[in-house]
Amino acid sequence: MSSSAKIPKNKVPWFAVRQDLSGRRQSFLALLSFALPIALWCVVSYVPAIWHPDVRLHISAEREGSSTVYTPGNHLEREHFGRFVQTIREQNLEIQRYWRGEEEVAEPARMVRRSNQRVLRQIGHFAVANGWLERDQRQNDEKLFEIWRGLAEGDLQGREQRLTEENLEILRLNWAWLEDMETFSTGGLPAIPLQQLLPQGRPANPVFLPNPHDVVLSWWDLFSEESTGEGKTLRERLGYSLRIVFSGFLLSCLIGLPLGILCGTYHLFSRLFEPFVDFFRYMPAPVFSTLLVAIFGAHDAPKIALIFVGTFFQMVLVIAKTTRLLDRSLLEAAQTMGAKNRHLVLKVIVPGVLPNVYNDLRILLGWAWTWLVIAELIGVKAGLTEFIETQGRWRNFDLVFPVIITIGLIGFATDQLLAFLRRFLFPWEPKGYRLSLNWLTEGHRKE
Amino acid sequence: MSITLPSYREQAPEVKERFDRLKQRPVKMEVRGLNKVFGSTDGPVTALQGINFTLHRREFLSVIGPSGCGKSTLIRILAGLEIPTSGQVSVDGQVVRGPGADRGMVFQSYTLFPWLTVKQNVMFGLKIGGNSANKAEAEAREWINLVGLDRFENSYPNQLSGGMKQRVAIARALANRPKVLLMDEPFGALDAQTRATMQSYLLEIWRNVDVSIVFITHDLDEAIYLADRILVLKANPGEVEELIEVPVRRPRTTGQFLEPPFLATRKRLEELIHPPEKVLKQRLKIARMTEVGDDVE
Repeated sequence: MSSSAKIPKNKVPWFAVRQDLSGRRQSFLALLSFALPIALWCVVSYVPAIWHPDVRLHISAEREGSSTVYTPGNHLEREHFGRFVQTIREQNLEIQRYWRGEEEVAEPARMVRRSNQRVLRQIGHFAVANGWLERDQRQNDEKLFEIWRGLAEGDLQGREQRLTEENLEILRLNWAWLEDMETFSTGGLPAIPLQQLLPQGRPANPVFLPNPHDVVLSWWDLFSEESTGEGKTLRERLGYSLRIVFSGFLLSCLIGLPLGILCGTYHLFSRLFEPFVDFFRYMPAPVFSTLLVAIFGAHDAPKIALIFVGTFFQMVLVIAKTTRLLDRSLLEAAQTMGAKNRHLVLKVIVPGVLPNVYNDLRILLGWAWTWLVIAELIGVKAGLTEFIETQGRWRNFDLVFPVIITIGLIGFATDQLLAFLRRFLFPWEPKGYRLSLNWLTEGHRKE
Repeated sequence: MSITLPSYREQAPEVKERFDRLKQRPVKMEVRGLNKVFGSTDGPVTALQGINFTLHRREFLSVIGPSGCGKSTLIRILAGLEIPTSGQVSVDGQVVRGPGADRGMVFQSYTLFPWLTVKQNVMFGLKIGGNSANKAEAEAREWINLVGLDRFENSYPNQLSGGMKQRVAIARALANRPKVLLMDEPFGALDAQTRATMQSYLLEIWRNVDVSIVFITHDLDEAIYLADRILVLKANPGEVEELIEVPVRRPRTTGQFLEPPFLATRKRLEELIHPPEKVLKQRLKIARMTEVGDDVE
């Protein structure tokens, strides 16, 4: 036992009203606030018993007399899927009647051969997924024929995806009709209908909730994509969006900051500008979109203008208010030292309000990002938003998610960076006000 | 048991001689017929009425009075931060028309510029006054030394204690070489001990600088300890009740708090500011809340 008396630690209970937890706990909770949603997403995605209302197809689902064809990769509600399978089983029973000669084939041989060719091609995607076929060879009947042979004779067995026993059985029965052909020829296909493969797939969540690993992989693919000259890569789109946001925002600052400070300093300017600005800000920026396109053309200018309209009016009011909050006695003190108006504005008001103005701008920058989404859709669509729009329309949500998350990360990172820089820009300001990654580091430092 | 005190008007020969010399010094600030009326929802309110006094070179004048007597309004008018309804203030014969560097001011709230270091704060007025950066810096250093904060010249105000902040504020005001230093309850926000120290510092600084001081306070001891003369105001309307010549010898020490001239002055101030008839009227109507025997009073 050491002789030095241990100072008992006074631990703050986890639930203590208005009391700060220790730095270690703060950091832990901060991590948890990110870990929990991600964990929830993983659980919903990877635990099959939870949710998974859809089936993601490996083998296509198509049936007689219906024009809707669900191709591999499509999602089908489970109930609907069950009915589909049932219908095809019944169809296949009908076909077996032809086989047994209980019924005559009414359709001309040419039509029957064509639909048999479709049956042959049903395994196209499946073959690609297992690596037996190049993606662009899905219509190559000679190769598909060889794969049928392999599957029927047991030489090929799926690694990524496997056929169900039932489908394998159907495939073998069909093969009995096909194996007479040495090599594939359309004319060699039997003139009697073959059985359809049953649709098959694995349980999946709806398309709007892709799996985490799919999102991460497509994030990597999207952002490591090199420019090929045709179409824009995502990195180019990101650069474009950043340029629009910051151009619009800088333009706002250039006019809004001086005007806001003037309004906060002189009652004259405040009464002259603020009532109108106050009215104008109630007209949401997007309502001007068509007007802005008419004025500025269809490309970058109206987009920058929209962000300007969206942030400028707020900025004037917010900065004016912040300026008015400056302690009057600082101005009076300066006056008793001989300061004139010019000195009061440049040497007292501007440096005095700068730290708070800086915080205001951080919040307004968030607004600029919001308007960006609308700005990029007016005139000629462009940037990240265009990508989201297009891919979303095709229901490629595994491509949409990475872009949405990237926008969030950029906004978050910018804000954190600005919060971090604040300390160096304004060393006299008290250190309070932390809502940042500094939770991770600063918490410990405090201990 | 009570002590018989002399009259507060009685002055020892050396004190009397000092006042004679003081009154022969040139007048630095003259206040004549000052009135201030504020408009309010209940009609006009007279904050100050007919204030007259003169402030001589290197004189220390305290202004004291009950709350609401217009002390702060008075000093803000002297600084030029407010305009009197009638009457005028002049400094060295020049009528005051607004704030200016000839009248420095120290406020009760700490008005140091938080974005400037101690040294930069003291340099503020010097640079505005057109001094070169080097000269301003050299002079600022001297003033910072005078208030004993040379170790903190590169600190920001929020790193200083309240007393230190007010010392910087004094240095900053004096660096402009004002003719009059106006102090509006400068030690009011400090704890008792710091306040006592600051009072002694102030006397010491004042001894070494050619400046007249108007010092507003509500602390009777502070007023006597610091001042040559005390201007006593009364409330509603704010008028001069009496201008008292403090009969306490200089240099002042805290030991003098218990000497008869100090106590006599103190007694007089008590009478003026807390008159016995007023104190009686203000007694609370308290119901008896205890059963315990009466040995407390």
